[in-house]
Amino acid sequence: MVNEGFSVSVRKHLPGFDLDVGWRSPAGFTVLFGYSGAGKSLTLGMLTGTVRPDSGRVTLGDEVLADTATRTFVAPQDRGFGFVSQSCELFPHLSVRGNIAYGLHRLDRRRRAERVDEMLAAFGLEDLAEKRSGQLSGGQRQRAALARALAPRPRALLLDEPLSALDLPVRAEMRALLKRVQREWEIPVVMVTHDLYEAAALADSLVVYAGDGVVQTGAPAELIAAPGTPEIRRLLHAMELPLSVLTSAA
Amino acid sequence: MPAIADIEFPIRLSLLVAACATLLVALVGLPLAYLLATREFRGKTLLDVALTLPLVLPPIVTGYYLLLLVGRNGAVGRLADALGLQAPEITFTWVAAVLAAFAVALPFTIKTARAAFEGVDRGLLATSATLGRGELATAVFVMLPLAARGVLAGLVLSFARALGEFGATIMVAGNIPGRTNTMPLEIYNAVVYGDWRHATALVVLFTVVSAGFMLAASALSRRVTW
Amino acid sequence: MRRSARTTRAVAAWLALLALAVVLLGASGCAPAADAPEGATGATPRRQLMVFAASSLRAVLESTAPAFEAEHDVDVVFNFAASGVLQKQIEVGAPADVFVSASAKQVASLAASGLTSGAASPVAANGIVLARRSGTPAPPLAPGDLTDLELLAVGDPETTPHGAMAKAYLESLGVWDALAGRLTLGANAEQTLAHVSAGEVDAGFIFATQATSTPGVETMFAVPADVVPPSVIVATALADAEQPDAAAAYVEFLAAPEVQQALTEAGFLPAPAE
Repeated sequence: MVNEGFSVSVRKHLPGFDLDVGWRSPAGFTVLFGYSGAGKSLTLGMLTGTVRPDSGRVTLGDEVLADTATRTFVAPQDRGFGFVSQSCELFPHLSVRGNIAYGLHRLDRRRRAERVDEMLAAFGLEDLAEKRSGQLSGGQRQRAALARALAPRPRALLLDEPLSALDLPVRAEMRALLKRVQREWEIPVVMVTHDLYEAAALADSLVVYAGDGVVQTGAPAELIAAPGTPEIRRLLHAMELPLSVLTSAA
Repeated sequence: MPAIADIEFPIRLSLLVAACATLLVALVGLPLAYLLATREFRGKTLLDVALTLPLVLPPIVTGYYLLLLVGRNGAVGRLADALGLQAPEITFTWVAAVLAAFAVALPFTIKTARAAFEGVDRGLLATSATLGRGELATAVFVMLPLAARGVLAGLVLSFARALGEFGATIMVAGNIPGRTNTMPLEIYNAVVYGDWRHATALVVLFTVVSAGFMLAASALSRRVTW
Repeated sequence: MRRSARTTRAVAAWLALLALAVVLLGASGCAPAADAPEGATGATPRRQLMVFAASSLRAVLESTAPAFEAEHDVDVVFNFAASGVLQKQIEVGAPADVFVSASAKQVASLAASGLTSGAASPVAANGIVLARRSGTPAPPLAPGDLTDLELLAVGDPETTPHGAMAKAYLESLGVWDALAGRLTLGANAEQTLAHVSAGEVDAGFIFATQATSTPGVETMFAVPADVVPPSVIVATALADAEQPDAAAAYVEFLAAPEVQQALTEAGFLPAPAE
């Protein structure tokens, strides 16, 4: 389980956009990084199963999630992956407790209540359990969304720019939280971001979307030191931070 | 001229017919509205038009088509004959009144609920899927609660329409005192005899009773706080 | 199966199930009943005679039904609507035993289609009268005053019996053209009556029975039957009747003195002699 990572090789045509991308990542914390509109979120959609590739293959370790050649497709509700999106999307008609319990329908009532309490404690949400989404701050909402995604003990965690709407100090806390979650839960995490600092800080493995299907994979330090194309160099050196700052963020 | 004692049955019948019709509208219309809101399929526009037809046609015409459908010589009757069963007597009974009210009230809920379903954030539906819930569970636990305001508004409109239904009812259920004479038919009867005072009295009585139901629905709608 | 096809199929199955439930409910015969149950006399319910009758006959037929029911041991169940609606219902197989129409046209049409049984029987006639809103201070109107009126209500001569009769009368007086532009045409008898009783018009031509039954209108004069033949109320038993004997008996019953008395009190004229 611990050594599994995602691998994608997919093509998808949408009005005004063509995606043609392939990468493989080892287990651990993988970050998809690049400009907005390069196809990172779309690729993440292939992992969650909410997007079907026109052609190609998506796997997690040995398990085939989608394969157009064999007409295999595992529906999102059968994949068992946690997902947190940019707008976090807590269900507005449920309390925090209700949201966290939402994915636990397979558990009996007692174990469900126990698991919910566990998650509330783990993410510091006990005082907010009965509140609704509209009554929470941005950081609280994101923590609740994370707790909800992790409550069913998913086999992987997929995140689409989860921190971009948060204030800087909250972002720092959340980064630490995410890193800790990945380490403790030992599940592969794939996160999309266009923030270079975040990418460098969190990634064990970086997948850079340079546009036009060009993608480079590797550890952040390697990529920053030796970008494969001028475009990738521009992306990675955009913040003009010295390498030492970036690598020490990890 | 109907006496006061005779008014009790038409009111009771009207409320029963409208309630049953609205229930049927919910059971039939909500799944259809859901399909129309979430899917593209061949014949979708045709289905949409067919379901909107009772809004456009004069009710008496709708009633005539219903008569052709469920009458003894109609589709249902002939299907029963083909199967060797006795055709059920639906026309000229209160069930036909329910069907007439259902047919004319259906478009209101379908249109309103469809718009409400279309307004639900698709991201929330996708999130529900990632949390392990299939389409039916997502529809019931996410789509429906979030569209509740619109759905309820549609059902209230349908109930009002069902309550006031006349033309289709008289065609397919008849105006049979003691059996299918709903309030609108009784009010019309007063009009036929030129007794507008009586008609007005019936209208006022009818409105008061109906208003009670509308208020209840309104109170229910206020509890939807999200 | 793709999940979307599965869901669509599930919805289709659900709808079919509902349709079946409705049909079964209809077949079960359980129904809300008015407080006075029919056939309250014995354990077995009485036979039912289904009479389709024009709305204008409701008061008379409902009040005289008990006499027939007692003598023939049946329950008479009425369906009151416009004659045209009733004709359509019968044509598509409605379970009627007797049809009493407000004009001969509908019965003739059914007879031509072979849906009637036995001869059509004239029951009464309904002439038109000039009426206006009660309590109008102006002096009573006579036929010679018609051309002085500003607004006159009649039925649409093309589509309504009372309208056609009014036009025939006004033409017989030679004033039809003179009144052009001062007529408001009603789509049915109830509309014309409504215009008259609301006082929206100076006067209008309505059926004699409407004038009799409506408290708010007063009759000025009746249109003579020899100038314009009144509309004839016609009754007939139907070919598909489930109670053919009772149906024929009911048609005869309508000629009985007590029914004729009630009809006259309501403002109907006797049926024209053959």
